[in-house]
Amino acid sequence: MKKAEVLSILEHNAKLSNQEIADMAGISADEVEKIIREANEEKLILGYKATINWNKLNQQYVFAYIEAKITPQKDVGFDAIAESICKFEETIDVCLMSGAMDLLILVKGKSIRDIADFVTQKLSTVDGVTSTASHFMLKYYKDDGIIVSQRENNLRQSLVL
Amino acid sequence: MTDSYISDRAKELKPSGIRKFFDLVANTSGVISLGIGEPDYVTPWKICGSAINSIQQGYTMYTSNAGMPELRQAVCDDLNRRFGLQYKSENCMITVGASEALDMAARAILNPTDEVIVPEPCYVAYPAVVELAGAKVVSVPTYEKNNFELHAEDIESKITSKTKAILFGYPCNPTGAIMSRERLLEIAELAKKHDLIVMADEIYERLTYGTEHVCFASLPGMQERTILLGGFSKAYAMTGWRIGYALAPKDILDAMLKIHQHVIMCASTASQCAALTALKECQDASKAMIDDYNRRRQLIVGGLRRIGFSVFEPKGAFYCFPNITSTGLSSEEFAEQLLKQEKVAVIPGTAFGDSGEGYVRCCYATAIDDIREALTRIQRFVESLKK
Repeated sequence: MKKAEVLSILEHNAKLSNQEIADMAGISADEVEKIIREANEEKLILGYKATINWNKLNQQYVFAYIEAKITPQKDVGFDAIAESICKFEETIDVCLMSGAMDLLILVKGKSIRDIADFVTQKLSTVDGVTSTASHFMLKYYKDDGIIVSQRENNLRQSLVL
Repeated sequence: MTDSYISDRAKELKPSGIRKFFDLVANTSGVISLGIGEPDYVTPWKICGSAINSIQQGYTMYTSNAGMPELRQAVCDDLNRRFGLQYKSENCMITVGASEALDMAARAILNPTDEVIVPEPCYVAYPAVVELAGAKVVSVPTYEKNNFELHAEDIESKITSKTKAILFGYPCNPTGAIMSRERLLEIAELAKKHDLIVMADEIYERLTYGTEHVCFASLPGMQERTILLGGFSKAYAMTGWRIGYALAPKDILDAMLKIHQHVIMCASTASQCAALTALKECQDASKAMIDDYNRRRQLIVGGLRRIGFSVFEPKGAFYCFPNITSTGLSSEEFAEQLLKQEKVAVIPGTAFGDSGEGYVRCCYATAIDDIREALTRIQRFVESLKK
């Protein structure tokens, strides 16, 4: 399945050129171009972004997971409320969950105050949201599949082989 | 201190050609290394966890000299299942890496007047181990035009009444070559005809791309003349655990074990526990790494070819061996100038024997972005040569 192979390569490194992906997948650069164009059109690829270790910059962000309980609406269930929550620019991920809560929302702000304002003034006031619980993130250990601390350490010693 | 304390044998041992090179690398900052033949992965966590658990459970003493019975049996079962072999535990010993297995094999079978056929270019330790055992190395070059396969006719002319064994490693470090069943059958015929032992270093056997590995011992009649060497370093990213194995006919294995008992005692117990978990529970993790090596292999081969090198397609291990003669430089000049000018470390082919002249070894078990940057730098280097 060349499509899955190309997308899997791209998922790990979005900076690769079509020719590089073609080499790695054992197909031509034209085929790669076609697969990616189609994947964009089909919304299989939703975006391209870098994984940033914000902790290393002075300008730090605060992240929090917010659990929300909501009352489902007739015909549309959770979708309409979830989609309206997605429109807040503070939200990064919005997922419907099994278990005690309904939605799990990842939000990003410049300060704890930012996030507190978002929860009390925006999220809680959305019709259908019945309660929220906020969990502030203290430290990232693994981000988007990448172990944060290991990226900098080179433990290898020189040897002969 | 004077030289007089050093044994003749130690003096005669040639320093590794790679050593000289790594001293250069160590003193240069910002180097991208395609030098070291080691996975860039850390060991899958499940394997590490089983070693930690074994220590907590009190497995901190020696094991049997030959290794933990469960591990020996698991190694036999795994090889028997994949290659249709008939090994029993009594044919298997657990060693400190395949390196120890190789040394034990050489010491167990070689006498001072014996000759050992060793195809080149080859892993740097082969000639050294044979010489340390007191025997003589008879090199047989392999060629790019033959896909770096070992041809029986090239060996046959080198066989004398003193020839005791053939020592080879496929998939091959440094060329990445594999051996087809047909070529191996010819070697098997030769081994029968001249009554030779074959030391088959199959440490890279799980790392093949698009082709199944043929285990030499699985060829008709060969299990009784093969010393099969293998280990966990490459397929499970366990280089630092130092854990390998040897399989051989019982009388040969017993001789190897006798030496092992005196010089090693047994392989590390925690490493043996880890190896058992690797074999039984970590095939998926291993396969994911090998799939990733395959992508990098195709990336580096494609990139080097576009720069203009003739690159033999490596079908195993994690090395590629581009032909650099078009630059007009020798292997050593190429590697040294590339390191100084562009800070990319590759190993001159001559480190693996004289027949490696005209080639360099690039290890692609390296992060994809490092391979890409290395290719950019190599291209810039090659263009600077044209000016």
